[in-house]
Amino acid sequence: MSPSVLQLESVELYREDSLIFKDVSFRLESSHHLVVRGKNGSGKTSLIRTICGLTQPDSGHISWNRVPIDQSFITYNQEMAYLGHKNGLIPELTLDESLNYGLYEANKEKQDEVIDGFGLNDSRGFLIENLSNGQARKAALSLVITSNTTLWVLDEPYANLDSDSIAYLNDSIGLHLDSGGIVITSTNREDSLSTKTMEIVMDSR
Amino acid sequence: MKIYYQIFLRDIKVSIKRWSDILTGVIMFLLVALVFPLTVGSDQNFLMKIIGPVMLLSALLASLISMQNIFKPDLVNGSLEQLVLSRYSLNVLMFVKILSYWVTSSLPLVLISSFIATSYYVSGLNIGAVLITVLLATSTLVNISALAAALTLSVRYPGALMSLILFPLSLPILIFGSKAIEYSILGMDSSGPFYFLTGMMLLSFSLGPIATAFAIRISLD
Repeated sequence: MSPSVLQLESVELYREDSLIFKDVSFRLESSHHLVVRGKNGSGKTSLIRTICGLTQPDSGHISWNRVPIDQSFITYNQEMAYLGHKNGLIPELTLDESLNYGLYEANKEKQDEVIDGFGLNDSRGFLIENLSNGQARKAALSLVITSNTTLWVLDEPYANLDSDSIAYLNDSIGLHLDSGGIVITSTNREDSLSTKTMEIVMDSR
Repeated sequence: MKIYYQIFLRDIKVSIKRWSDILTGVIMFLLVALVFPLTVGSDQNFLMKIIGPVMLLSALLASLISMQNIFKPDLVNGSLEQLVLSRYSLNVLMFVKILSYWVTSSLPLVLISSFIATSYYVSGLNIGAVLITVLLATSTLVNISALAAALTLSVRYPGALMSLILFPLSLPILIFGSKAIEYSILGMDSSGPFYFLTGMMLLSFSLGPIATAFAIRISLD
């Protein structure tokens, strides 16, 4: 992976006149892992969505490889994988279909390996709506892990996961960081974190 | 290119699995369109006069019922966010989504409209005229519906707002569609309304997806 850099400069977001966050500035380079920590309702998801480009900040700049992200949607999206609160999987499709119709350019062998690592092999033929919350979360995480992108933005990736899966996810994040990737995760828990290089703590308003 | 084709197939597959949504639109269309021949009786001249507006109004009401389902399920399960953040052009993705929505929601209406036309004493080549009118009108309507649905995506109860956006924009289609059918049945030159409908169809399929993509981005903000 080529060296990449994500930079935020005094990013500020308001929702209906109330401040969500302000003065968020950081610089992430290859092999950095940023953890956004905070209580429920402290604005973690808003920050994550702003970093992805789903929400426009009220002031400040976000740039990817020194190009503002609102000027380079396609390039930025090519190199970023995002997992939100919702899994982004269509409940009427089976797990196998969801993997095949994925929007990332995934490597099939890698996909099999990750599905196996998460213990989802026996559920491949199941509809997403029939999977448990944890299994659906793991299915969505597999899409990100196999996505061949540099930047992973994960909103509460550990939600509903059992300890084996948390360990597997942390291993995957570790491997990604070793190969020069950048990871941003948000969490409301202090445990279950893998290697982190930077931390943002959101105060409750 | 392949991914757009795949998303097209995926959307059709998912819509077929949500078959009750398709059926609701079809039932609505059948109900409104068949009420007139059943209640008016066999007044051939009257039926031939009203088939135009009735067909288009039925199509409009059917699309009003199903239009909430274009983006809402995808918004709820989060796959809409994934489309917006994907590496592919959102404009083209919206074109594909609208096209697949047309195939599942409106193509059945086009097919049954030929059967309905016979109960209005329309026969021969004129059935083709009805069919083409419904085809052109619905393909414009799906673009307007998609735009209205995208604009009202973040509204909790969008029903009234959606119809307020949909009805004025669809009036030209209703008027020219009715005229296209009427002129064909009366044996007059119907090329004028047909040119207009075709133009509207091309215009809406070229601008509709772009406007819809823009509206989706705003609604997700």
